[in-house]
Amino acid sequence: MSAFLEIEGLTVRLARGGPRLLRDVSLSVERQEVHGLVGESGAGKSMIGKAIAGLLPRAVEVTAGAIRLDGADLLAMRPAARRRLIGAKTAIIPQDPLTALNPCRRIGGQITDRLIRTLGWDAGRATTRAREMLDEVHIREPERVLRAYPHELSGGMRQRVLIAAAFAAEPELIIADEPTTALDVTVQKQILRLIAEMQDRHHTAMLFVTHDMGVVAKICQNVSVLYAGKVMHTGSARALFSGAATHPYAEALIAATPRFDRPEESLLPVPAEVTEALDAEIAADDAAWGAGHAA
Amino acid sequence: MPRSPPTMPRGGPDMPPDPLIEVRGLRLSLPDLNAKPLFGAPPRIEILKGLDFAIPRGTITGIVGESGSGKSTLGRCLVRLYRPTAGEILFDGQDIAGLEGLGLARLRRDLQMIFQDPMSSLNPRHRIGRIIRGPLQVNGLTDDLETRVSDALRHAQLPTTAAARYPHQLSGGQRQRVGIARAIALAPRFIVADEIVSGLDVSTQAQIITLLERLVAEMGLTMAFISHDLSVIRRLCSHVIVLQGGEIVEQGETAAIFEVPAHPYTRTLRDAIPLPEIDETWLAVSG
Repeated sequence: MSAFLEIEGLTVRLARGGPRLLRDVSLSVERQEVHGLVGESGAGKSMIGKAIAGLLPRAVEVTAGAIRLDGADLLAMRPAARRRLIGAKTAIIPQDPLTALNPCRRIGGQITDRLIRTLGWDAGRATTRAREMLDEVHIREPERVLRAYPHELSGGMRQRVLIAAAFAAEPELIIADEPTTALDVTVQKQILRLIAEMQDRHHTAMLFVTHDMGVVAKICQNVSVLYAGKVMHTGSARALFSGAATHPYAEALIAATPRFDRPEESLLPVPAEVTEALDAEIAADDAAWGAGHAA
Repeated sequence: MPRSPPTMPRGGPDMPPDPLIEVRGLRLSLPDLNAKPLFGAPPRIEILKGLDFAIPRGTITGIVGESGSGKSTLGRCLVRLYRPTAGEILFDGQDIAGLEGLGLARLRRDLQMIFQDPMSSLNPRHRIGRIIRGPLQVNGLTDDLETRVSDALRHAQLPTTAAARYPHQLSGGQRQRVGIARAIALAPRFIVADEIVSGLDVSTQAQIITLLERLVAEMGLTMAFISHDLSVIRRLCSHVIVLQGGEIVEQGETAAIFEVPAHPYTRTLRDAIPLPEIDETWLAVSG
């Protein structure tokens, strides 16, 4: 059987002949796999997540490729059918819980919204489910939190609420976009543990977008490393962090990460040779692509 | 006002006898605007609850803690952007905690700050040259102005052509270098760097850290480096102060403190760091 999520040759560019933002991206995520998507800012990590969820901004267009969710090619579907499929099978855990939650609405309604609107549940069933989910993410007073407004909760609590909301409709794929970047380390560890626990219990596939190699090592089974919208390396996290079967850029990213246990050996800037080689590769790639897409 | 000598739970004897900055019984409270009654003054909340520590000359001292621990507030007190409610800040022996007016203005040149977010701390309508020139002119360092600006750019490893650019034309790492250049242009004696590598990619972060290490060594700077990232603190700082809820829970030499943390909070912070290596037990262990 094929992987649950298969992206093949996905190319996205700025509309009206602009430059490419994603260059021939291919990757697949198996059922129950946590797949890390790492790279520096602007590498296109979040863009891939947005493309899957159908949330690409109007200013960009998909020029080639396929995104298959459980075998169905999203890009070949009619918009309404695509939205229904994405709504039923995927969910997002966003980076910033404060911007993701509506400040003027109580938490309860924000969890049940999707259950009622996308899945057609009645309000009573949805509320029961929301309470169960808050319980599952170890929120002590679910009744109080359901009635609370986002500003009444701490950052860690808000992220728990969003994790509860993401898992509530039993999605088969969750796109987690830097879900712990805004949190303190101790809270980050709790939230990572919670995500791992929920993912394990619900057997969800997960695309985990992050810039933190430490986080990748702790939660992902496989990793794709992006540079300038191109997948430079895909492989198991175990191979990547043991130094076997890897890529110079992936190695350089690990070497640049500050290491608490070996302060002297870390924080090495990505060597110029590595980025120059990558940039040359990208330029050659673009030239070949441009020749095929001359107006 | 407490007059007792600073208590050093750890590392006391390791502190050099002649620190550049010595803080005694530092307190700061601010009005709690969330709880403001209809009439009368709002209640005050205590942000810094009596801190005692010293910052040795020519070193980088890390100030670490989680959000809300008071580390940025402490940094702003040290460069006197805030006036402490009580306590002493001895800068080279002189108490600057209560300075005002001309006395404070004279001091500004020696106490500089580099801010976390260059987009909000660099005027978007000014070219880089003007941004760096401003503090020099305010402090009367107008001889050889252009040389001072280009020296500062060079020390911060920016091309001299950057002077003609606007902040939005630079990358995030370059903008942070402008903040550094603006601070070092005045040849200050003490710099507070507040989370200056937090928003950067690892590669850029590594470059900025290396730059700071070089500047401190070459220019003999003394710096307080505020960060929530223990890995960066461990690499960069010879001494460290661990803050929790406005109080110092531990302080001393970085290596000693992090190898054998005496306080459970320091241990919790240390054990929460995800190291870039596979460890299946990490998520299972509580903490």
